[in-house]
Amino acid sequence: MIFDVLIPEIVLTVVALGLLLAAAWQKEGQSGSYLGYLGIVGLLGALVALWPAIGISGEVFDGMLVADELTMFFKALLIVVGILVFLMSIEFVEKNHIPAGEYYALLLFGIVGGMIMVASADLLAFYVGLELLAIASYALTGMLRNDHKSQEAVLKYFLNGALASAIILFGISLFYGLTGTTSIQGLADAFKVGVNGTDSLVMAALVFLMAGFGFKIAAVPFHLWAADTYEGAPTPITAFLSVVSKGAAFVVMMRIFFVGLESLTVNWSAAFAVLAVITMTVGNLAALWQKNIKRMLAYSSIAHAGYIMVGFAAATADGLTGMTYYILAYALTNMGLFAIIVAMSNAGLGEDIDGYKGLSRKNALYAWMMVVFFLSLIGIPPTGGFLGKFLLFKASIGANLVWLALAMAINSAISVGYYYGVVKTMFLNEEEEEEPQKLPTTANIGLVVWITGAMVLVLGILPSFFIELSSQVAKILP
Amino acid sequence: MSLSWAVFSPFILAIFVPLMKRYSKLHIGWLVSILPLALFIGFLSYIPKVMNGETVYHVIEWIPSLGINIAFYLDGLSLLFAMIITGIGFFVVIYSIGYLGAKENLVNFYIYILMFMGAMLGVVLSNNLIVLFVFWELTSISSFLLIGFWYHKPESKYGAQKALLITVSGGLAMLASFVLIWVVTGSFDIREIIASADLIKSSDYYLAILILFLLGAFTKSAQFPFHIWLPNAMEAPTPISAYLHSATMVKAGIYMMARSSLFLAGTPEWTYIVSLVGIFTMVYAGYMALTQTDLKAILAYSTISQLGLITTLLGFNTNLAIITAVFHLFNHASFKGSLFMVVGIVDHETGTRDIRKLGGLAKKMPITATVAGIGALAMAGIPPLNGFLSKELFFKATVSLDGIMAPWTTWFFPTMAVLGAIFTFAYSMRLFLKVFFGKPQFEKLDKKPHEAPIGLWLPAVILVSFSVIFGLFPGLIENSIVSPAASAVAGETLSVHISHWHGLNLPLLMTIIVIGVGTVLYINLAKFQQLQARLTPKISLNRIYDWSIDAIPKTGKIITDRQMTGFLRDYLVFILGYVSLSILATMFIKNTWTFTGLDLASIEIYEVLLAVLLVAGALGVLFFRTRLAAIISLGIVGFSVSLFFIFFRAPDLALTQLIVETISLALFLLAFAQLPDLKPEVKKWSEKTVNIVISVAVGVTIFLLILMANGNRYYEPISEWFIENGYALAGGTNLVNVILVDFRGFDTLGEITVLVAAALSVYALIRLRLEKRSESNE
Repeated sequence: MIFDVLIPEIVLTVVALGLLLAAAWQKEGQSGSYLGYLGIVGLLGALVALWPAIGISGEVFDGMLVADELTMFFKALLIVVGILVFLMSIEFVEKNHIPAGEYYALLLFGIVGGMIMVASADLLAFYVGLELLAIASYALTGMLRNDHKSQEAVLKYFLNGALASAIILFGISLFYGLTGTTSIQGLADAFKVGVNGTDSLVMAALVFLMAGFGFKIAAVPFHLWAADTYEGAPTPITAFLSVVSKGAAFVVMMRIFFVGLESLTVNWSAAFAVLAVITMTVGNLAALWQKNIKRMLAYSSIAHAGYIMVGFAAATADGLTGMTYYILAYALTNMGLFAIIVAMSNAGLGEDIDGYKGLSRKNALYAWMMVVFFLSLIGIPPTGGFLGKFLLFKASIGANLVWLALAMAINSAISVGYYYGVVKTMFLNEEEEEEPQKLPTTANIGLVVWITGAMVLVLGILPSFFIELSSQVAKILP
Repeated sequence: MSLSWAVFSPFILAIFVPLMKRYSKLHIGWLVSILPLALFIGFLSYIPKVMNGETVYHVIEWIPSLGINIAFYLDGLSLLFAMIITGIGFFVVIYSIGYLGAKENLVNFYIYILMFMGAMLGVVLSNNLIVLFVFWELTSISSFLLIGFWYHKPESKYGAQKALLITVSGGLAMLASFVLIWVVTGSFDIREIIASADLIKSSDYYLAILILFLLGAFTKSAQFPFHIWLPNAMEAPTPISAYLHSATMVKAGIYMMARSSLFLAGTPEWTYIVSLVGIFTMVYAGYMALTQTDLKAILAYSTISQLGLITTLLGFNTNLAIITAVFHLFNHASFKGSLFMVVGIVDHETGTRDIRKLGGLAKKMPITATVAGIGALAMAGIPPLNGFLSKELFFKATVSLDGIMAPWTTWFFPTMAVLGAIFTFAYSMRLFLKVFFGKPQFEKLDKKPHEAPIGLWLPAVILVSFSVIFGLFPGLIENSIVSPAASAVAGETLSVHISHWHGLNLPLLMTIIVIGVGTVLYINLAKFQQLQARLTPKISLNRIYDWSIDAIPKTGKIITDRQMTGFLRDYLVFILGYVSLSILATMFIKNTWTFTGLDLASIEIYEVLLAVLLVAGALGVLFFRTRLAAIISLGIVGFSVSLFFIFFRAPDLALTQLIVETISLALFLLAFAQLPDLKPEVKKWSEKTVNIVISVAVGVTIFLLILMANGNRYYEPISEWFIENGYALAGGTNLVNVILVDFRGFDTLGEITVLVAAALSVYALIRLRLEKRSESNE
């Protein structure tokens, strides 16, 4: 049982350690790309190793970790996202002289951390996963050692992250004091039996927990680190942060809030509704002004955290399904977008939106795929983002939160403003003199762009299978 | 022809447009035009079936788990729209061949127009609200692309953006109403929803559903106050204005109102909101049309006004009103489409659309003038054209409201209707007479005007001939088209009989008033326009729109500047402020300042002194001007804490604290010795106040929390268990030792391992540094 469930994590850890060892034998000036490909092989292995665990559900390590539909879905997603991050990293790592062994090993450790998070059934196990992911992320953010922005990014990320961890721990300790357990199911039972859910100490614990998670998912007002960090981090790591760190935190929140703190739903769902609106509005409004595409996407990802929180505000099975589908669509969309940004930066075109001028004629694939990804982020059919947004929209109205659905709609309309700005730059600048220099599509990034582009469209056009999977996730509900 | 093929074929053809451009020497318009013609013939063949009251249903499973399937449904109403979409579509494509030269980006143009055609067919044929919504937004997007077709012009960009923002926002509101309908009925299927109409009308959500739904319909169909996008949308190429912004897309809102009348209409809310918005739009837009100088702007306002007329009728929702609405919809498509084409021809041949520069074109362009004359007379409602018939019916509908609406409406609606019709008459006359018979002023024109080529005028002639044919012989479409469509809206079979002569009655009198007063108004138009100029209010809807479009990014800038300073300490202000605020607020709201169960020891004087010292040390960190002093001050805090441990008889903790404090002090001093001197920071008092407030709030929050946590004890502490079992289980008398090596043996082992690992890394780092140094020395 333990091995059935944990083989993927074990495979990844072994591969990561292997990469570190291999790096020790690497000579100076030797390409480290093969380490990246080894990592991809490891990730593919882990994906295959997920197979035996399909359909298995239960707890391991005395209820520390759990296996069910939720963990299965998100472990698979994490591994797939990991593969995409690896693919988009290979050239980038070469070009920027990043130590390959450490970089890829840390990425794998981060992914393992995320997998532990999504599988944790206990607050402590979750915390261990969180730190494993967070510490790997800090190190990865600062990988561009001669780049001031990267150093600033890691400092801010680390200090904020450490504060967040402290706040989460404070919350966990309060819950432990109140209920005498750190098991998520145990929390639920304790609240059912005796602990008074309206106690203000419970509220304080809830606030601490929500604040700490607020950091991890970059919700307003804990979002402030995000823009600086996303801008300064190496671009593939920005993609990693915006999808893996954020996604894994959301998944843990699903389990903690929907299962563990189910008796307190009235309290947290209202708080999430307010935070959701503030988060999406601030994120979208701030994004309107950005000149740097990574910064713009940082704010856009803040806004998306706001949309996802709508699922918590609804606090229903529909909300859970909606969030799951949304995270899936968002993850793939963002991966595709960042792959193109990596390609642009590899080609020396920089990260300013101005650098995207005339991209439609330099590389039509990138330009059109960016349009598809933007459509998905705005939530326009026929893309996965539309269905994700629709499911959340439906969930919020189903939970009597019509105003929240309208806020979401208005925000989607605002977000058109900045995505459209980029599209306009890519397509509508034709004063340039002669035919611009072509930007060839490289194999690795082309692969990422094709995979994610196809998936985003499949999620929009033939969504049945994935909606079914997402609604399976709601089985965790008591 | 299956319905799904009809909807998807334009999209499929759109994919092949670039190939056509590459391999065909012919203008691609010719190839593209085949499809709408074929579809039109296909839809014609459904007429006998639909006349018999049969319907066609076709479904493809899409997302069955959510009840969303691609279901297409054809009844009289859908058929009427489908025929308008494909029929006018065919003429517009033909017309565009002459209108757009080979230099234009034809590939884009025809891709967009096909996309629009497919989307529009999807809207009118969908039986599932979500699928309908998808097509609905697709029409907005293709309209955006087409308005912005000449994207190098700033007006085009402005118009395209405005249209997109307004219609897409309305669409989203409509989606919210669809989901609410689903909440009430549990279905997205229009047929099923109609079956549970009573459920909707009696539900608490009815008003919310209605308002959100109408927001979608009104924005799309340019009803007041959302009409402001339509005049700006006239930046599109004229064939597009004729097609999207007069004949089809703007009628999607009308379609939705007609389609939903079986489950939303009939309530007082519906009747009053819809009919009042409609009649006001009709009069207001007619009035506005008189002030315009751009021919297309006149037509734009005229379209808004006519849409208002149809909306009013749908608001009444009587059988007569429904028949009239359907009939007028059809008539409007024919005369307005041809008028747009005329304007396009005039623009094409003279180089201007400014009515002040135009005049006397009748001699130069006799065919165009004839088309314009018939179209304008039909629009003005002159017999025997089709516009007269539907206007007469409209008057009849307004005077038969007795018993349906409140008494004041029986004079209000007829009066407003006459007023609107007077304006319509006047601007129709102005459009026709001024341009074609006014004083010739060819010297002001860029081009020498002459008759347009056949490709341009033929579609206009054919379209306008419908106005004549169906005006003379309304019986041709009575039973084949109008009756099935009206029956579909009303939900029961309506027999329709349209005739010219009803005897001397009120509607006829109203028409006579309209023609009389309208003629007077046209003759005195110059004076009237002066009056209008004086009446125009300073605050216009467009200003409000522009202001709010600016306001959004401005707010964004303010928000960004405020919070994104780049300084960590500013970030902390937000974060800590929020955390302490929400905790304190919770405590305050829940009124749980309970500190019962506090088991406090008595406080000795030396403890107080020590606490004062500790606080002083903490404050010192803030106020000392040199790093050294601040670090030492911080040390005072640490050492006082260890003294507290000693007072409370915890020597091991005190020892640990002392060691840690000493080491960290030494490390601090070592590290900070390398840093430059502290610069005295000049801070504003406002900033200082914020900092003080936040730090006090954090301190108070944590203090209260600790007190409360201490006061609320739910479980016995584990220490009792250790005391009881320490000797029995582990055989040790020193409890701390027992805990470390027995009860938590593995923890200790882990800690030791970590220490070893850390020591190894430190060793490695030192070695590296030494090696480098020796290398550089060599």
